[in-house]
Amino acid sequence: MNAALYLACAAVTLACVAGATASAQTPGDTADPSTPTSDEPLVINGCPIWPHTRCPGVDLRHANLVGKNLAGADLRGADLTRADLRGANLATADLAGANLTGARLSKATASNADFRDARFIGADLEGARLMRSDFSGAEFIGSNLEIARFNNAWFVGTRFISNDLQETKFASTNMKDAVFEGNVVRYTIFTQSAMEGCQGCQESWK
Amino acid sequence: MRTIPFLVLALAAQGAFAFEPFTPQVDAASLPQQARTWIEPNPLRGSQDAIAIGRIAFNQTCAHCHGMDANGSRMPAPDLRRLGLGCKRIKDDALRQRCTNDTDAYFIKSVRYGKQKFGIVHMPAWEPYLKPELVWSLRTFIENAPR
Repeated sequence: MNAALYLACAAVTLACVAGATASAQTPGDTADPSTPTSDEPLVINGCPIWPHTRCPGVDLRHANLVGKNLAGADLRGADLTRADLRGANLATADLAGANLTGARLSKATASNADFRDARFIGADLEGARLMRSDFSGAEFIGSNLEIARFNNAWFVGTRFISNDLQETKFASTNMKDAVFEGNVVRYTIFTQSAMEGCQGCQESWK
Repeated sequence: MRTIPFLVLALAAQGAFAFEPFTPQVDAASLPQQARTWIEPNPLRGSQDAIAIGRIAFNQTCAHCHGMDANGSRMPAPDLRRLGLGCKRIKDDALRQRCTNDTDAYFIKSVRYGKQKFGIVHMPAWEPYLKPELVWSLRTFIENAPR
């Protein structure tokens, strides 16, 4: 049990270090050289950053998207490795199959979004609002999910390995066939959740 | 048995959403042939005919949730007059057109296929009931609705 806790802590530390490094970015670092510096919208690798933008498969690695409004965006299969999305609005966005390795999503709003088969490895989702989103088939490995709100979300077949889930809200979620292994679950809330076929879910969580 | 909360939620949501879609009673014969497409950009943008027809159709079909004459304040569904507002502030012509196209595509997709999540219907799919030219006239009306 202790070994699992150490593994979780080490992985979360990695996530925090990745986040701290990314914070060295400035807005200009991530934009195309052709991007206007005025109030005009940011365009990164051909993808304009505005609500309902359509950029499936776009390369947004290391992009500085702090506080940006990407509500309803089509970012299916996008590479958001180490992207900085702190405080961003991703409500109803489609991020199915997206790669969010090392991404920073603390305080982001991504309610009602589609994260099916997405990857969260060493990601920081502290305090994010992710209610009613679909994470089926996704994986969370070594990520910080402290105080994140996942109420009414779906996690069918989702893998949670070595994450910090302290005070994470999973009320009324669907955890069917999910996998939990080596996570910190101090004060985590799972009430009213469906846990049929869940590996690692505990009776005391219900 | 943890499926009970989902069943209760689904039943409650179905109860709350008692609106059945239908084809509005409006004469759209004057709308041009080229508007009979789902492909953006909106072929009826700026058309006075489309605004008038769109208003009649909107108040029959959409106003139930989005408000009469598209006045969505204090309504359960979003205020559609805010859709694509940010695009108008873009100075670059090509970027502004692309932004408007993205909003058009989002609007068309929402109307055609509705809004469904986890089996709960928040908005019905209107494709069987509304032809493309009528949906574009709805979009044109909303864009020109007073704020």
